[in-house]
Amino acid sequence: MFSRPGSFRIAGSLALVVSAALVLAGCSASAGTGEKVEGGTISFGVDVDPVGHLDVHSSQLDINAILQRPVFDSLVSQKADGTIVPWLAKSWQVSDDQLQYTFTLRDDVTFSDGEKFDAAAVKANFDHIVDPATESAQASSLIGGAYYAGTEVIDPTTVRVSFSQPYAPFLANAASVQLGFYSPKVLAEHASELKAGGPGISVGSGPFILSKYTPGSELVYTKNPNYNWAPEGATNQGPASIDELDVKILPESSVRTSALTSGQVDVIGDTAPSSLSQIGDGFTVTSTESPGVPYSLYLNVTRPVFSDVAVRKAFAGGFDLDAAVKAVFNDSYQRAYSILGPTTPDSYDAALEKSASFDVDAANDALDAAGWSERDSDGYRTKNGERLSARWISYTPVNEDNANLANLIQDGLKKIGFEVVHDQLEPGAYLDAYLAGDYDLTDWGFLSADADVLRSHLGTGGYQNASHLSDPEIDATLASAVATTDGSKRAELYTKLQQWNAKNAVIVPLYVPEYILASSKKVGGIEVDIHGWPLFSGAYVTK
Amino acid sequence: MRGWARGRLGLVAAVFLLLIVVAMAVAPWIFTPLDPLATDTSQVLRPPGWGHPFGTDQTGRDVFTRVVYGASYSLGVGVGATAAALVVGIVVGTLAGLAPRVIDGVAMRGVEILLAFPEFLIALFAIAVLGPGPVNVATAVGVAALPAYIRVARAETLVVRRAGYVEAARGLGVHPLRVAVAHIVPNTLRPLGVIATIGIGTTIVAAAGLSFLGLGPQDPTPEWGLLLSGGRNLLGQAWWVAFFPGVLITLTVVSATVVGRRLRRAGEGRRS
Amino acid sequence: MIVRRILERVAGMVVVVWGAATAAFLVLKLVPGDPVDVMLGVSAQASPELKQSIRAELGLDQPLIVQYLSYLARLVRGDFGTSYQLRLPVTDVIGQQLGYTLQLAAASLAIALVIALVGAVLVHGRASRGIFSVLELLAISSPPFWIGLVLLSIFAFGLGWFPVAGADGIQSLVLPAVTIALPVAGILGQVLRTGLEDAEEQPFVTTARARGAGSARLVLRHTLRHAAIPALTLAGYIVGSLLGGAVVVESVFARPGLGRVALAAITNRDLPVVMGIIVFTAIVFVLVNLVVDLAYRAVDPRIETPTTAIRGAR
Repeated sequence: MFSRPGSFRIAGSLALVVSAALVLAGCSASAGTGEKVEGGTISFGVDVDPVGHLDVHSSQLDINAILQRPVFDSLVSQKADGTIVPWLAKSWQVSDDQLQYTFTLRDDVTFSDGEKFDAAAVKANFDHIVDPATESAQASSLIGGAYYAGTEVIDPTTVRVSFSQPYAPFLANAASVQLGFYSPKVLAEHASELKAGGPGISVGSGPFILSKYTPGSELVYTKNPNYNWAPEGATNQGPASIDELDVKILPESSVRTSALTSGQVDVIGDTAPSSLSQIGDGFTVTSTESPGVPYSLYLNVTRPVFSDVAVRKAFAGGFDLDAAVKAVFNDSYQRAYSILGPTTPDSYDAALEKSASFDVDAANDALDAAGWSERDSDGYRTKNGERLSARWISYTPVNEDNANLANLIQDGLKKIGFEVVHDQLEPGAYLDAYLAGDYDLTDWGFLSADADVLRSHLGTGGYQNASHLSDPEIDATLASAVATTDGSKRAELYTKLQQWNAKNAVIVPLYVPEYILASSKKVGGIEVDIHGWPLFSGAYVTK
Repeated sequence: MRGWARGRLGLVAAVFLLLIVVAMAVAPWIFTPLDPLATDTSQVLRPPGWGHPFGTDQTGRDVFTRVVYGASYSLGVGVGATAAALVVGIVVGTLAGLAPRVIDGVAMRGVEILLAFPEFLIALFAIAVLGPGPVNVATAVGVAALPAYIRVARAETLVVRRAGYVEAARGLGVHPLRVAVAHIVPNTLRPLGVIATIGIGTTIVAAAGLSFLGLGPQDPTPEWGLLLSGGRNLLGQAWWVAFFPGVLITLTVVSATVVGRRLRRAGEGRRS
Repeated sequence: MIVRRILERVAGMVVVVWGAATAAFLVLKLVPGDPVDVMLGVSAQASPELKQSIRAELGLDQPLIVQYLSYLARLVRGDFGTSYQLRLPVTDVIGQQLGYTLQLAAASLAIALVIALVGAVLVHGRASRGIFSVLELLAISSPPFWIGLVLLSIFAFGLGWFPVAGADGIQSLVLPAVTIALPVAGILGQVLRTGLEDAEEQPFVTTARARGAGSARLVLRHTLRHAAIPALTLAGYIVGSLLGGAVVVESVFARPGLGRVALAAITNRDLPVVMGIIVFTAIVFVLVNLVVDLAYRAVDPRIETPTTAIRGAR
């Protein structure tokens, strides 16, 4: 809720992008009512500034992915139906053993500083991502992590990426902005300044050029007049229609809403569901369910309180999640039933929607049976004189809706005698507690267009495995899923994992976040990708 | 002094309000039967009316109940930090007053510089050093209040020190520290009490400001500054969530100031 | 004589800034936790070697005294270090945002002065004194963040007269500036009014009256000048209010500026920026005091001063 220009979100309270498959031919988020005019400016209000985390190769901020898309192009692009279409790569071949991807590149692409895009540029960028000095967790995991073996230049327009074992999400991941391309000159001369970013440093080959950056205030992009290499099938194949894209940082959701309704800005992102009622008919609103892991609670199974599956299940079923989500989000967001969002390709198990239920009696019985049958003076359950209590740590700032949801959960569990102590910790303290495993549960949602996101959440030693789960069978299922390219086979494996979690309550999914984009009817042609994030390459203003 | 705020009516109103706030802090259950943390998903964002005089917030909690219970946090921090600053201020100020001139001089330059800044800014710097958190907020506002107490305690010490009976006690061979405790400290209490009364108000605002910025206690704690900040995104649809906590803070601070000024005038009258 | 006084004055200023810099350094060094861990975060999974190299790069592996001396040496050269979070030189961070806060501070000060002066002149000697003293009390006692929210809900959300946020032109400056100005005006008004009452009783007022000076002219020419002295003494306090107010108000109105930078640095434990802002504040404070001293002599002719050269140049 506060402006935090320098905020560094780790596996934090907001959803992060792990695998961003961008759908360029997505649904249109805006339909201008008037006549299209060439030129002009569109202003876009967003909640945070990625300040200090502008490097696409190392940043983990969603907002950075949104704000850098206009500047950086990728090898391929992914459409709404999941098919991959050519972008900077004209075509590609995958070897029979699925270990090598050979891309044939366009030869007419230049970066905005005049450098040429070629095989050497691809190699320089991919080498930069995996270089330990880049401190990349997100992009290096998207490129395959330990499976990535290297990139070699075959000739100026041919480049080969190799893996040590089959890695199914690669093509989709190659479409993400995190695997986008810097001008090689920038990588050579300004490597240490990429995180700070700015004009002359955040230089790509995209339809827009970052021309002015005032941290905490605004980012100004001007159109790239030479742009002529849009993804195959994109509506606008040439340079952008608008001359300028103006991004304004407006941290308070109420302020963004009013800025839109008063005409101060044309488009706003991350619109608060609670403010939708204030946005009238004169505006276009697109709400897109986020793929990946829904906003969830991660129960630490190595701690005494949650080592017992019966206690975990009582916890998950002990509060009225339906009512809580409805109270907080007013039907704008749906409650989650599974550890994957319904829009995650080739994976979602809709059958779980019938299984989950809120049952106070069952929860009480289960806790009694697990030995938590005594009550102390405050009404909380005890066993051998010890209170049934769990420490929930959250990474600050906690957004208001999540804080409200937490209150409802805490209050609900109190009624079955289960104490939840919610510690909202500033970054340093959170890291200390998180790294030491000194917590019973924590929370976040993790945006991802590929179900492989579960590997980092449930796999032994995974970098988002806050539950500290270590189960050889789960590891084996995750490993075979990531090596499988066949959609239905993958879905089968991921269904198995989702059902396993429903039985074991290691992760308690709460709600499916949505990215809500609202725009004035004075602008048109804004499309949204699979995350609901806006793409401005075809945007225009009207008379 | 003229004007009704400084007259009897204002004073009576101020004392009355302060007493109510103190009662809220000490025995909140007299004012409301509800639990400040109890949520109710069927009563979300209800405007003020029967049953909920100040309305309800986003999780259906009663705003009036939360404001009432908030008194103990805000007044607790205000009184606690002021009291701590008072004690430390007396000790440091008295010692400085008794100390050799060089030490006294250096200490007082520092105090004077700090006095030139508003307490909120000093508290903010203290938080910058200590890091955010409810205990640190109390410490920070206490530290910010400290310089004023040190200066007054020292000034009074210098005056009393030269008074006949103190000189006499020293002449009789009584240990200087004992003289300080027995004679100087009681004499500094009256003027300090006046500053402290006004100081409680300033401290409450400073603490609420830090909480408002997200540097203090966290939801669901019903702290006034936090309640206000919780309502800031609801201004367009539910003004009552932020409005009432703000009214309470302002009224409390105004009352404390009015009473403090009255005490000061009484003190000045006695002296002249 | 004059040279000596100026030297003393400058030495005093340097000592204050040095003291602030040293205090900031010492206290921040006592803060627990490894800044490198905070910098990198959990998922960066940096190797111990990488952490060590960052530590060496930042000079954090040096003995404390070496760190302190090199810190002072860098300060003297105007190098405040590099922000952990923004990865920019602290001077750039402050420089980029300073303009916004200066605008806000200047506008607030102007509004506060106008309100206080108008109040002091209007109220002077009239029955409305009581009402004004209540208004002053309210202005001083209301928390600035609450004033901001109330102004925001009435004039931006309700009436739509002003934009709700940002820093686009004069219009967006009005509400934030008024928010900061109100408490400052309350304090200034009180001090001015008390000063005026005292000045009324001064012999020069009687003389002026005898010479036939009208009431308004009298207030403006003579007594206000006298009353300005205690108000000037408050300058340090007012500058502090403007800076402290900026932190709150920039947050409420989503304005860029030093206050936002300070708040972000505090919540993120971005120590170089915190130190930079403390030292910067000390410098501002020292300069303001210098200006106030000079203004004293300009405003009140009775103050005997050895710096007649300055007055003559006026």
